Amino acid sequence: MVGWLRIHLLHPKAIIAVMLFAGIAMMVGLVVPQSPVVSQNPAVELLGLNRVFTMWWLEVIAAIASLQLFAATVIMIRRDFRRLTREIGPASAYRFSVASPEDLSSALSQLGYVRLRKSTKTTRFVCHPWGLVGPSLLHFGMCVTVVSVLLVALTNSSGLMEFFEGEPPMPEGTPLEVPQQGLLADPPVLPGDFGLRELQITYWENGQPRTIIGDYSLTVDGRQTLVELVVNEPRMIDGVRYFQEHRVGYAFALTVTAGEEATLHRLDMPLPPSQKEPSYLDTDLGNGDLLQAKVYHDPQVPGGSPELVLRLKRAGQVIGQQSFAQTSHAMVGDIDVRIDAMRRFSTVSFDRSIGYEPMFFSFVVIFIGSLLVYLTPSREITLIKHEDGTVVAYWHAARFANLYIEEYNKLQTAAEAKESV
Amino acid sequence: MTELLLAADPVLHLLAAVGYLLAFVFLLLQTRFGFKVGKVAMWVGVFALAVHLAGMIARWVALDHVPVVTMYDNLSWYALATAAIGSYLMVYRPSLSQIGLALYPAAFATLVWGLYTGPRVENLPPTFSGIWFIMHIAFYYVSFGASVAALGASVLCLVWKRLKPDVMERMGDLEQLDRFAYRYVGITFAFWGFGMLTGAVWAFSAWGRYWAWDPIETWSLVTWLILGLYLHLRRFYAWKGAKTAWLYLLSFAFVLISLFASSLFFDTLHAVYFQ
Repeated sequence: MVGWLRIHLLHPKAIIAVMLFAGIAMMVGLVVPQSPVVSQNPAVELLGLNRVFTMWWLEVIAAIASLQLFAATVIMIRRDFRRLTREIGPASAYRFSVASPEDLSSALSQLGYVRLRKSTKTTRFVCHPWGLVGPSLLHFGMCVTVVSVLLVALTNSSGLMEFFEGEPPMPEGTPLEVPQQGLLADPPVLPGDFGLRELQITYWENGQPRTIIGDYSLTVDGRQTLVELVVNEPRMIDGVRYFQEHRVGYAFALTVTAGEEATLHRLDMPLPPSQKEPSYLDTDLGNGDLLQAKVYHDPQVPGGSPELVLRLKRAGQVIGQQSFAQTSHAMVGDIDVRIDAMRRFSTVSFDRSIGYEPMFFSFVVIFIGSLLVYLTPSREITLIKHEDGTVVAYWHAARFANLYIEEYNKLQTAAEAKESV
Repeated sequence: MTELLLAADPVLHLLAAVGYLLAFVFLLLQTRFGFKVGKVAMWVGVFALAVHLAGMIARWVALDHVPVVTMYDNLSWYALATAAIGSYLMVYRPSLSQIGLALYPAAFATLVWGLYTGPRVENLPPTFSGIWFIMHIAFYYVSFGASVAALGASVLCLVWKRLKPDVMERMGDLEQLDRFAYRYVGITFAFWGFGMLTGAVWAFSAWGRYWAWDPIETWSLVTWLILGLYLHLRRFYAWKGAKTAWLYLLSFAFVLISLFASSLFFDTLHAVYFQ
């Protein structure tokens, strides 16, 4: 089995082909407009080129790549262990006779070589022996990442929900919006009664938002706790991660009356990008009319008393525009608009998935492995005592041997010190 | 004080850009025409780097946070990382100072592009905070600098045989240039990978997901795969010389698209940082 893996799965051509396929698939995903865009081209639809990242064939490529990675890692770990513990280094063209072992020993010590093995006939020194385990660590870290990603995907139970300041808490068990559920996961629901008490936004001097902090109440089994959530600082409570999303703003409940017909609309206006600039939102009223809204933050009022401006467009023509700074009821063109309520809203994500810790730990392993590979290339020297009593040194660099040729020359000079005297 | 610092920042940037251009000119005079001005190039490059760094510090102090939001901020950091590698090579690896022929013009062009976009003040949005975010972008800055160094070595490998013998001698050993390219592609690959990984951790805490096939994320992964392909081809098939240089030119095009073009042409969450 191992032999078959070596010959087929780990053949350099197979590894390069899988990398190429993966790269090409992703390029297709970038070039072809992806779902929810529906392609008019039947070939694109058939091959799923407009939904590359959820297609089975990309999963097959990922699975083969993972298998290659696991197999290569096992082989690499065994190889690196052998390299670390072997009695003598590889045969090398870099060799010299040792006339002065003391001087050579001193030079080796100065250059940071560490003695790893010693027997009656051989002694092996390695500079940066930890560099020998770099490739194994790097690839092992990648394996842990793959396993963690799989674990997260299987146990994924996450979603989000919007909350409105001052509204009663949403009850425990309410299904979350944009739900994601892995094969082994429970349905994503609210973990307790959850409501927004207050949304605090701080600003930079130039009026741009600096931090978004939401104060929430969480009630589980009749026990109420206050939870403060800050953007970019997720909190873990009883196995659930809570994320304060940056999607916050002002929600307006409107009654729009056109002729005899009154309809209710909710405008979730995003937080303005700064205290001096408005945010925008277009809403289709369902009868061909487009209601364009913009909202300004009012810095005079703590928490914001936003000014809503509405514009009505019909067939591309502006029919009317009205500011609601001073009023909550006005005509916009030929439609009657009444603001029934305004609340600040905030979005929170909930995530019960398992596997993030090992994933982020694996990143650290990859980081250390890469540093060892690229910053601590190992060099080794094996001293072999021959039958006639002469000692020959064999020097070997794992990579970039020519970069360390000066080091080799130093060792050679030290070893020949007696002869030169 | 803030106004003074913000006024000094573009002036210092402009001075640095002129310094990088001069360092390139002196290097060119040395390598192409044999003038003994290597030391001058080195000191001009180091001085320009110090001035550039002073400009960034002035901006940092004035903004009260690390300047990493606008195109100006980011291009300046890319230029700084590129010029820092150029100065490192000239000071500590003089036999490879000719790589500065690529590094300094790249630093100059990036900086001038940044100045052209203008040093407008933008503050960090709420999601742009924390050590993971800083590491994420810093790794990409270093990676870009290393990728330009590898580009310089690869281009020199390609033109080496067409050079006159005396210029060829001053440009250094072909094999050494090829090895240098290999090594710096490795560094680019490693730091690019770190950038993606720390980005995943940051995205998780900022947006609640570590990966979402966002166009920039995907471009970044494709670029990393291509760099990995380059390294594996060298490792497995002992590729070297002209064909690896050409392959690297292709990889570098992906580096440029990932870092500079994708946020301009694709609808992406990352676009906020590069406007």
